[in-house]
Amino acid sequence: MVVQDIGLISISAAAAISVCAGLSVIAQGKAACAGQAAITENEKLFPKALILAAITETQAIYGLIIALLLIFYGFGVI
Amino acid sequence: MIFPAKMKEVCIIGLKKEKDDILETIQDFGFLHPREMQLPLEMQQAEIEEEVVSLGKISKLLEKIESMENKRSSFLESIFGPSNITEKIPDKINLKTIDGIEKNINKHIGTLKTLETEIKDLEELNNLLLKIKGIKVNFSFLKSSRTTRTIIGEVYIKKIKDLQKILNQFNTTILDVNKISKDKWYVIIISHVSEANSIKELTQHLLKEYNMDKLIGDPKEHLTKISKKLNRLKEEHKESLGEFLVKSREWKKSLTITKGFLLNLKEKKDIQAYLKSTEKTFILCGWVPEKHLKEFTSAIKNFDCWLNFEKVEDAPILLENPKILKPFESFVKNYGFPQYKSLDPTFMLALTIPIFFGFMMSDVIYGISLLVVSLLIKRSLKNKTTEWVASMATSFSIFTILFGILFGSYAGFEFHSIWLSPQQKPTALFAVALFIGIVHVNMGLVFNMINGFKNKDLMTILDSISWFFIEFSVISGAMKFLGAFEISTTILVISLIIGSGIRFFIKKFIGIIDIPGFFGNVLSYTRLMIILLASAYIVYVINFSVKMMWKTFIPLAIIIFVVGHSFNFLMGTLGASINSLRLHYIEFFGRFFESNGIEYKPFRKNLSVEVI
Repeated sequence: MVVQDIGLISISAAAAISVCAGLSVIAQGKAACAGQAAITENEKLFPKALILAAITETQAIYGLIIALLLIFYGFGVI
Repeated sequence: MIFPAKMKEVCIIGLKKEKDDILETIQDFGFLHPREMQLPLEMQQAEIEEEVVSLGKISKLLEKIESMENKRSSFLESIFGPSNITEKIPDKINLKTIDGIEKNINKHIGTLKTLETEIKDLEELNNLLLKIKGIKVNFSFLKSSRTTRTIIGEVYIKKIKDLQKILNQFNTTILDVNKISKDKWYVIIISHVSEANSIKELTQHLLKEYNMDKLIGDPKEHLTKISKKLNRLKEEHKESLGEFLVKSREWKKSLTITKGFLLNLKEKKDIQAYLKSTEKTFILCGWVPEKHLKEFTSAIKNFDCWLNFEKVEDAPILLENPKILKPFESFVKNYGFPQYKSLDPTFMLALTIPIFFGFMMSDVIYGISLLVVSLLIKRSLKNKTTEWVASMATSFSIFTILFGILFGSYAGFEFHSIWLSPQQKPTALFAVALFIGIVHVNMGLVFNMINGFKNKDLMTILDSISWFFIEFSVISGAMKFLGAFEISTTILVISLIIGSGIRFFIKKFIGIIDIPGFFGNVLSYTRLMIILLASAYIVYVINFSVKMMWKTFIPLAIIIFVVGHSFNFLMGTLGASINSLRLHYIEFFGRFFESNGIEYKPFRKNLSVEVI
């Protein structure tokens, strides 16, 4: 591992998680908002609304995976 | 347990003169799910009108009682408050009692509402007085006279100059100006009667005028009087509400029992919508679980009617699972009911949902905390929901403790790990998460094949087989690339072509486009590792901060420990349960589950009601 790469790896990891989480949270907000409106109409929709809001989280998780892999690789864990 | 309960389709043809008795016997029997037949909508409404009106009245009264109860009870009371009581529904009820109860409820609520309005008005006045308590003039002197008008209101500090400009155009005097908040002042303006209206119109966008009609005498004296009256009214309201809530327990019980009685009556009339009749006979068809068929035949045999059993192709779904698995049925029901000849995945969910949760939480101390919370909820056992939450929390906590021991995690502190240490070997954890994903998704494919065999649907069977071929080629290819084992590339290519070919044959291009999505689903299981690691790193930061603080200021270290771990515990519980559910609903159910089954709702007389 070349020491000067550490900064680049850290920036890349930060970019991976921030872009993915930032964009997925916008979608999650929309899904949660629509879900809340649906629950107002029918309380039984709560589990489905919760799950729909959680689906959009996937992209953030992928971002986190990339970030962690970058850090593990960069800092010699793998 | 693995499939929904077996049903038999039954058609009863009976004499019209015995119709009521037969229907009552069927309602008492309580296992027939009627098949809908046609009846004009107006007729159904006309026949059930009387019950619907009374039911509507009862629901409104119960709502009124609940709205009053909500003024007293808190969120914690709703969980740990008194338990629900089960009351029997009698055979006969005098419906006139509802009118008496309605009168009493309206009388009490009327008194409470009057008090609430008075309190609200006084509070508004009190707030106004608190704002302008700096006024040293007696309110009686501020009343408008024959030649003058007094305008009192509030203005934003930054707008005061604009107000001044407008007032300069008139013959006015600013009697008093004082600060009421960070950015607002109150102003007292005395103007000539002839100019008052023009001033009000020109300043309405700057000045929010107060209603001073009810203010008399010295401001401070007035404020004391108002706060005394306010306290007295609040006390009176509290007493009236308490008295109402005590009396309402009996009313609520009586109304809930009457509601149950009326619902039974309504159901009996509703069944008319499922009948078809001739001049002297009627026919009622429906489904009965096979295990209750004998009881049903013997219950009906006393009447002059003819029973016909038909072959069942599609029937309502009754999930049948052992008592220990029952709480997990709600996960399936929330998604939708499976088809009649399809697998009921409850038994699988009962195992995998707690395992996934335990994997993501994996901490012995957190597991014990969850177990304590579940036992506390179990002790209160207020209703079915709390019972369900407690049973879920118990099963989740067992697996959290188990994985905590395997990973050697105790409130974030690492001790001897039996299996592997997540923080030291994240790559191994990554592989484990992927392996769990592959196994889980393939279980879904196996279930899909079983459904295919059960329904004799070749396309469904082929769909699963195609995935097995594609999976074999991709996973073996990846292993070969990593040098785990050797396999001929030709075999891999042939396997991929066969799998893709079958998919093209079944679903055309959509079948091919689906392929990356399938591996995306498997990759999604890496969240098991991610959530575990995220929680572990948060705990690491908390424990590190506690260690640093411990040397300098012990109380703060204790606060950080308690607050930090409580927060992580709550977030972890929420995250792990939602993601565990998501993996089942999206990745697992997506492989085999079609949620278009109809829920089994038998025509049944309720013998008791639950009074909340």
